[in-house]
Amino acid sequence: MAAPQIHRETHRVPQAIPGVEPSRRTGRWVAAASRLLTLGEGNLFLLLAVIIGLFSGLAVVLFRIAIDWTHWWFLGSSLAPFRTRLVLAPVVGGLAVAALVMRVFPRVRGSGVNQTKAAVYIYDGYIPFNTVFGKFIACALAIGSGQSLGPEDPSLQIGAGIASALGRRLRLSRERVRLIAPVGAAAGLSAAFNAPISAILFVIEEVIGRWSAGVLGAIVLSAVSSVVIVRGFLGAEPLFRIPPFRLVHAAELLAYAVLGIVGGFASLVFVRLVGPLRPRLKALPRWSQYFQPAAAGLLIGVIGLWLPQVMGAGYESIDEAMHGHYSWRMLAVLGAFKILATSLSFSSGAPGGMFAPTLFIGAMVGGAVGGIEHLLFPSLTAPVGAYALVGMGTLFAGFLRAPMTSVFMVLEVSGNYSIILPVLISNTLAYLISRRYQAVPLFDLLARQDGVDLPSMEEQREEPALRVEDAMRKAPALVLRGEETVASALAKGAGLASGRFLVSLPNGEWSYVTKQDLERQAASSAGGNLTPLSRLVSETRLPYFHPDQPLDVALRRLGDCPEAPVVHRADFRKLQGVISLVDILRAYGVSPSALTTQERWS
Amino acid sequence: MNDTFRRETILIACFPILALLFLVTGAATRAYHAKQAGLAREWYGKGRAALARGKVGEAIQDLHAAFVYSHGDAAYELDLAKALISAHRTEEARTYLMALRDRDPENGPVNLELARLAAERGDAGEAVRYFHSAIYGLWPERPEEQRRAAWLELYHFLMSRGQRSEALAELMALAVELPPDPVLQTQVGDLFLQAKDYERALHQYEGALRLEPNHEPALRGAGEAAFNLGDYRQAERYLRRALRLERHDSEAAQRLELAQAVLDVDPFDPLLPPAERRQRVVRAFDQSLARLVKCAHDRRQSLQPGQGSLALLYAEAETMRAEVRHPQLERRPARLSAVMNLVFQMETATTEACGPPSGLDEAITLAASKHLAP
Repeated sequence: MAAPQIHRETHRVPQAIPGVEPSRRTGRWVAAASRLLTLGEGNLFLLLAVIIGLFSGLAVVLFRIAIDWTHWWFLGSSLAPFRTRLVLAPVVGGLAVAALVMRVFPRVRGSGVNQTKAAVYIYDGYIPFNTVFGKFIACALAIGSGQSLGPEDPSLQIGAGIASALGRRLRLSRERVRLIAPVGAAAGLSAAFNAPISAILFVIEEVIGRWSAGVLGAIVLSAVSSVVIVRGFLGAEPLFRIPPFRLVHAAELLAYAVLGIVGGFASLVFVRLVGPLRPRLKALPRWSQYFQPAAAGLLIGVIGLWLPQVMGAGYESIDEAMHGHYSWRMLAVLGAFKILATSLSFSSGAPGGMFAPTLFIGAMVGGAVGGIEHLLFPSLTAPVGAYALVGMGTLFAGFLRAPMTSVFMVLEVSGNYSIILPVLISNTLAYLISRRYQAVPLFDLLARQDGVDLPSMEEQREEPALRVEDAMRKAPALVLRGEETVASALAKGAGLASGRFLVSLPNGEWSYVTKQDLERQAASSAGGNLTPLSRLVSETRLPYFHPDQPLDVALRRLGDCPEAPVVHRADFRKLQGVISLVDILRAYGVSPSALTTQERWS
Repeated sequence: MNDTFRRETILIACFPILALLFLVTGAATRAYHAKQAGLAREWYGKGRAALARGKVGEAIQDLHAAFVYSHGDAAYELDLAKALISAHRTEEARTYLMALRDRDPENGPVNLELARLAAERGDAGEAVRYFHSAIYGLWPERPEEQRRAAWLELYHFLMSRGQRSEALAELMALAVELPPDPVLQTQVGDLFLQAKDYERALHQYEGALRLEPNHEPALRGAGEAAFNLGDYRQAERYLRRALRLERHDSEAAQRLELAQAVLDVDPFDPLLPPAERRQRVVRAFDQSLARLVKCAHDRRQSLQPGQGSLALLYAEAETMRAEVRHPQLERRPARLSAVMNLVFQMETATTEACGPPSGLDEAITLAASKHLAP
């Protein structure tokens, strides 16, 4: 993909308009107006975040309407559509979607999360605007015709695409354009979920991978403004009605632990089905890809003859599961067939997201586990709805491997803080099981299948970071203090071979002095011996570090300094060690001799 | 375009585009909501029709569709819950009702349905709580009537569980709230009568008669209540008036006959001339003794001393026979009471041994019990 040309310089407010020669007074007025009206890059970014949120919110509202209208057109408004429609609608929809994906919008295939990450890490924030249209049309067709996919992931990419287009149009700096796509992604996801906190956390946890004050404000603003738009147009009701939650008994936490274990293994089954099926279908001849979504649609339609609930995003069925409308057997069957249907839809190349199906499967698995537990221990367990609610977060943690988002999502949609303990227990267990038996998280797996090695946020989070304490050496035997005299310093250093001594200054700063400096000062005049070291030391102030600081910080800040002190955080004059460039390189596994060889070679 | 204002210009240009998009989205949303509302109405109509045809399963599906498209319209949700209840899917119905109650805790119909479900489960405490919420809740149509109906349902529920005093307390509260309507007053009076709270029943009927003096059901009820209270004269008066309005009420006619019989045999009527009083005592004594003898005979039971309660009473009666016929009996009220006490004991023992009295014996029993029963 050819990345667009991006202005590398940050925007600065000019004091005069180039090419114009105004009179002095007019010049002052123009400069004043210019200062008043023009925005700094930071403020512009925040204002832009709000505008992105508004655009994304409006786009997602239209997207949701389009999905429903497509659904009515394909399957009719009945909750139990005619049998012929059930089978034919996903087939016809699949053919149309395949033609669009193969011929018109080739980039809409795949995960919107990964495409947004690719924009951030590979394409300098570039997402072609026709991807926005492509996702909108193709996903509305696919989901509306009954493919087992959800609208959240496409919404995320629609938001990211809008943001990217605006960022490029405004010629933001490269760094800002890179960050603008996640801002739009948060807006899109927030509007689709009607849950801004979860969207913000997901984008930070899964797309950006780090907390950054610079981008956090923009993400929050965009997410909130898009939710305001969606609630304004479509109402404030959540996607599904939330049942009341209450922990019946402390022992019930064990029941939620069981849910975590079952949810963890259900996540594994889901990943193990999507993971191998997708590359196999992708490897089939190109002409077959025109028919794969239709074939998947046919299978889903056949499943839909008995279980129409598995078709589409399935929010109504989640709602029903949470309100105890299904028996535990039915819940288990729905969960199992939704895994199959979603794996077929997603692997066939039909565009759409995995969020809603994940929530669906989680609600069904949770409900089934809760139903069985309620049968066995009726007085110790809550009704099925509570387990369906917790189950949604459990699958989110196990399948999408976004543990923080999964916890906050359940908290946010339930609006009930008392659910926190069951959610923490269940989600953590599911996450640990998924990690134990599936080394590569789903999004990373999909990216690698697409031939892209995007940074794995999970790996980044868990990669052990080297710290200063891993590289520093023991403090030298002699450390001088700034209050000492030259005579005292010479006496202390008399027997030492070292020609340079660290000096701790009274204000907490550090410097150094050489033996020659001390001897020169002592010989310079009669009172030279009595000169305090603080007046003698080099004007250079040494950078100092703390033992817990990341080693790459030390590498960046060390500069030309041959050796820097490592000091205590609570007492800057207390030396805990010293560190040099050689120490750092050694910690990174580079031997000084190799460095010398490289220098010679270069 | 000048570079200085390039970004700001683009940003400003965003606003008209946003405004346009707002208009487009607004129009699309309005059309979408209108379509949803239309679908909701359509499926609701189909659901009601299916319910009317008795096809509950079909109705549930249609009402569910109506509920989904209406985004939680309370009326649709309530009808869906009712359909689920009629299909015995009570747990599902309960979840819908609970959701409705969470949104609108004072919804009368919802609370009433929840009360019925709780009553069906046998959870009396919860049922009463929901009944009360229904009674004091808000009703969209004919609120007073619906509240009264809920109150009456609560009364019947409590009575069915044997919680008579709680039930009567509810009925009393309902009686206070009744509008000036003789029909309603009479209905409540009937319930008091059924619950054997004759005083309150009579009070209620009298209230109805003050509103409409010739209200036949109230007259009949008042007669019955007065009869059960032992006020046979008042009972006779009410029943006679009732029969004047409804000649073919055989039950009232029988009651009136009995009341008249009691009045005819009652020796304790203060207005009776002494001779008549003595005559009534003698007649009562002879009648009850004859019944006792006949009963013993029918049961082939000996009346020899020491042969059971009938024989004991028979012996006592034989002892008292002479005293009963004493010409000065009516002037000795203590003895009069003693004779009538024996009459009452003989009638009671005979009833225990040979079944309930009828005709004159019943009248004697009632008259005696009115004055002598503990």
